Amino acid sequence: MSAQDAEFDAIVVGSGISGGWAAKELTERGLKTLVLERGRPLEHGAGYVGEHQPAWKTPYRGLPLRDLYQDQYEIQRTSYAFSETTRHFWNNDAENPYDYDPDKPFEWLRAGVVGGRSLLWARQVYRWSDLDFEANLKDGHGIDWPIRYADIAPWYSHVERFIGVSGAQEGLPQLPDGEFLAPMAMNVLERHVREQIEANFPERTMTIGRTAVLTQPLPGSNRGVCHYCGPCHRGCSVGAYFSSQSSTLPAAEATGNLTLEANAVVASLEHDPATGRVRAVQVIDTLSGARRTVRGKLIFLCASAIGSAQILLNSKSEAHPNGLANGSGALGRYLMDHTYGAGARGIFAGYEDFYPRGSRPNGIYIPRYRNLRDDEELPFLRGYGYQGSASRLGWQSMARLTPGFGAEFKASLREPGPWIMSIGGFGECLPNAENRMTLHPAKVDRYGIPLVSFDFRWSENELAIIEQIQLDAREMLAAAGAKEISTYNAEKVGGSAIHEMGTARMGRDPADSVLNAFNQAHEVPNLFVTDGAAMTSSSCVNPSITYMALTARAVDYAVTQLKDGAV
Amino acid sequence: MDHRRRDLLKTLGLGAGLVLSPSCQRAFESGADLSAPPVSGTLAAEQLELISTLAELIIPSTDTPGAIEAGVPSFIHQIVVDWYTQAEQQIFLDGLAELEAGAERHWGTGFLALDAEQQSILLTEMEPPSEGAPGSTMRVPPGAAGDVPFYQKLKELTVLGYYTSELAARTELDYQPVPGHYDGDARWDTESRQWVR
Repeated sequence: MSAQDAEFDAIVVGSGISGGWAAKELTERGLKTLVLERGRPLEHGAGYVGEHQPAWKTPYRGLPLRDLYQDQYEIQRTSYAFSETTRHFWNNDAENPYDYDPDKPFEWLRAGVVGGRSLLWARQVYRWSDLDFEANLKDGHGIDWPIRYADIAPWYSHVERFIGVSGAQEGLPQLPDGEFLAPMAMNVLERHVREQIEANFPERTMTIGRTAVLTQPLPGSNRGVCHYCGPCHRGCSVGAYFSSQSSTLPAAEATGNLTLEANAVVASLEHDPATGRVRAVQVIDTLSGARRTVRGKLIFLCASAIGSAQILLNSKSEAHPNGLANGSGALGRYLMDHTYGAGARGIFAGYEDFYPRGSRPNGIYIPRYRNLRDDEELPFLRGYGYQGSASRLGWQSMARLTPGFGAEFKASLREPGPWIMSIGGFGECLPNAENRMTLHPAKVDRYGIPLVSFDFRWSENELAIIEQIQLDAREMLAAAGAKEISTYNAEKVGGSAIHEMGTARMGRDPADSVLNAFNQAHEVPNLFVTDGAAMTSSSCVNPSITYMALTARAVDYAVTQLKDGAV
Repeated sequence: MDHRRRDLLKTLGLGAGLVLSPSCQRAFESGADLSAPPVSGTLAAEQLELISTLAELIIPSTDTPGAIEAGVPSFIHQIVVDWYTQAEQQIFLDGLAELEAGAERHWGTGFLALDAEQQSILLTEMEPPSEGAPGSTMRVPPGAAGDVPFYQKLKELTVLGYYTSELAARTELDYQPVPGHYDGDARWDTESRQWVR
């Protein structure tokens, strides 16, 4: 079935982590599904041209192509995962720009290929708890979530069983355990630091990162297990890490119900005032500029928090003058990210006869320990968790630290340097109506679609969290015996954690939210938004697994509704 | 062109079919201006030879190959010519000229005519005081770009070019593109080598 001649049962916008899940769940329920991806086609495996590419085969040995990056990747180049080994996955900022107040910059990091950011993500997966789902209700920031942990827990399990999550059970109420594959190992220094943190701070725990990377064969899957080459974001042709490319899109394809179209940007949705439903999707071919309309019974927006809200804001009609499903005025507002780029690192003496083997694509995690009770007197609400790792300084760092040159210099670089451990915090961001994205009133992109314009700044609460993150990181490394400790704060702007969310939030009341408890637009029964846009608060943990679980749950609901004739 | 210089150019990957431009040829014959910018995308032969000598001075051949064998001079040449801005390039080339001038001043001869010990003395004079503190290692930008002085540019590029070369990966380092597993308790002993990442 081609997209031109038929009405699909469902149309999914976006093929990233949420869109891939929507495609899999919809097609497995027998729905003829069209996935529209604005990015370029990419073949799993063959498209990963930077995979295992050694430095001597990389232009300028991996030094940045400064002029090119400045001209065309001004935003994307800020990511640790951006380089010549991955550039082909990323958005071209010159081709697809956006707008922001230079005094309040926002980094919108985007992929530009089928699979989206699921190819580039850091693969960390943490379940939310009721500490998170009840947070807004308890402290009054934002609106109450329309769901609780019990509503999503079975869907977390459903997702974990399919994506494969390596992790350790810890029994923490604020970080519920999941269905884990064997955990990756901590190295010798990380174990020491964990023991010292737990001995000195009884309420704090350090666990190995929970990551969507296979440490053992996954039942029912033909994906390979991790071979510890290290940089997953270059792509993994054996499919050891979860991506749409390795997992959900092939599952959807196998049903025979999937139609996937790349180079297809969605401009807007067409609302039918007679039925109150979306009746068509306006699509632009990114190569030819040709415009066309496709029709589907169910519409799933999975274009990312920013992309999905952009489509809705650009779908104005008489019945929806402020954008589709925006009677509340919440659309585009309550934009959140996580605080990022602050922490501490410390040099440790000893353990010099240890040198870990293999490149573990994962670190450690220190779950939130602040404000778990109501009686803590802290200068901020909510909390933060840490990610980090310990390693020995390598030749590049040691060469900068070692004076001189010659045979002795060379010999001294043969041995790795001392151990260094770094921990960096991810802090929760409060929902705030002033933090928002809008459509620029005048500027449009090459297709004539209004540019996204950001207006975002950290609140006092986030700034206080960033300060405390540094203090606690120093304190923990000191307690663990670090000899030299330096805190750091890269003063990262919004968006840089790439956890943007909240622009079409879920809620109980159509007056103050866009989506209901099943990610269904209050005002448009056949419209679902299941990416980061749906988030009512941000928690402090990495959000992707929650998008996946919400997506699967929403599809289950939507298909039932469809079969009952309710949408 | 004497035998030694021919080998050097071969090492640089510039031997086959290399035709020196007229200005380059003149510079070569008359005693080069070592701070002169590249012509037709190539540094003058004397600049190349100086780079080669300096790289080997920083990472000499020992029980493993040194900088020249690992192709470091051609890497530095590429960075200086293609990757550095004009200002960065000038810092680098002025540094070469300064070394040459130092050799003339101290010993009345060119840098390349000095023995390794004399060359080391001149290079050591350029070394800035060590900052030394682990944790501050990230202060040198990638490629020692910007206004980082010549000495650090030279050392950074030599180290980068050497340790990211295939030859060093297979001799000085341990190249395991697919390690297969992770062992956080693996031991370091005198036979161990750092991993290529």
